[in-house]
Amino acid sequence: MHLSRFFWFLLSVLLGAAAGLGVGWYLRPAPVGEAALAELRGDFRSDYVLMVAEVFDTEKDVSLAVERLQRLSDTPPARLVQIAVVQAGELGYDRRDLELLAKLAQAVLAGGPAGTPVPTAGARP
Amino acid sequence: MRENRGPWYLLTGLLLGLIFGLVYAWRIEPLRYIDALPHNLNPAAKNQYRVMIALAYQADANLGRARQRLALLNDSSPAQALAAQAQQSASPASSDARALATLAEAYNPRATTIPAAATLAPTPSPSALPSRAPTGQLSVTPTLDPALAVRTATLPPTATATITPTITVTLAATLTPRPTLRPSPTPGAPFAFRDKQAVCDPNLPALLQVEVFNSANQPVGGVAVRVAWPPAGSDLFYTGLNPAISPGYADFRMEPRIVYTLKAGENGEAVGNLMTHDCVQIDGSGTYQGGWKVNFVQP
Repeated sequence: MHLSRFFWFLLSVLLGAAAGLGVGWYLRPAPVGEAALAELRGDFRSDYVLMVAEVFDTEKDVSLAVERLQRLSDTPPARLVQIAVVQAGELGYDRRDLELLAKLAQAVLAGGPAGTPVPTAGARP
Repeated sequence: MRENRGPWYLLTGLLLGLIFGLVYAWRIEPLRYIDALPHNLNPAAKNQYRVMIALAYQADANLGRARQRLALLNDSSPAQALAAQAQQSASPASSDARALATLAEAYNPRATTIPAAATLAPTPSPSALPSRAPTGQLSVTPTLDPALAVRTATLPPTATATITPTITVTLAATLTPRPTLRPSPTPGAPFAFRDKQAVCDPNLPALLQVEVFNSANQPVGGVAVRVAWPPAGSDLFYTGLNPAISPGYADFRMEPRIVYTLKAGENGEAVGNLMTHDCVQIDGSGTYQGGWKVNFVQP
């Protein structure tokens, strides 16, 4: 008899939790805060990386470029640039922009762990 | 004896579960942004994004691209947002602040007014769409919905450019001339002292106001102004941080009884003997410290 009561109690707790989650996530979600740079959509992240590449092309300062990339995400900077290169290829960035990204990728890779290949534009991740 | 507790334990369980569910959904794992758009960014991230736009503009001088990027932030007045951020910068002489001021000064909608002669056919030909329009050529401004558009660096030369499988960007029928007429200093020409006036304005006490003009007598932003005082004090600031007054304007608060020397740009002509002076209140009730307005121009 006690087992039966415990079962129904547990079931009611689960039902209550499900209802709470439904209310908290769907019906009355908590106000969504403002996003951080890391939560930008992929194409905007790529554009941010392109901006870093444009500035790097003038400043030639790898450490500053890496610092700016680190503000974007916890992802290793070299990986961020690689992703941006791939996405830039998919989105049809022009040749000049792809070259800028490639230059940045090479510079960041040269300053980071060796052996990570730079993907070619248009390659799938 | 058998105790009849009724269904209260079920209600208790439901309530406990409900509380747990709400706490989890509101506090522990609330909804978060994924794939946020630039205008969803928090203020600090927006500032960072704006700085990158300004630095990129400083690097490639592509105003059209900078405008598109700024539009994504949905600022009511991008130029004012840039200027305000430059003014609030921890170090107004930093390269970030200077880049922000330069872009604020360049971001002048009047510069993009299309003269009748520059209005071209509604459908731009591919040759009218340079990937990176050099100075003096025309560039195309696409009508983007900042909330939806995926901005690529250069639009393909078709009237309707599909950028991602889901988003279509339609080119506007108008071509915008590149705003190359923005006043800029003639490279290499040092700024010369033009004139100075004593200013008595109780609202601007002890203010050293500077305005810099190019050889075409247009106010110029982004010019470094150095003020020095004995024995070895100096400060560096830039014109253009307050475009509401003038793109070539900058100011500096003077201390009483200190003699300042002022210079605009590299190798510019120095103006000395600048110090506060006594001004009398309009009602004669007392005095306050007046300032100076100094103008520089490129010959």
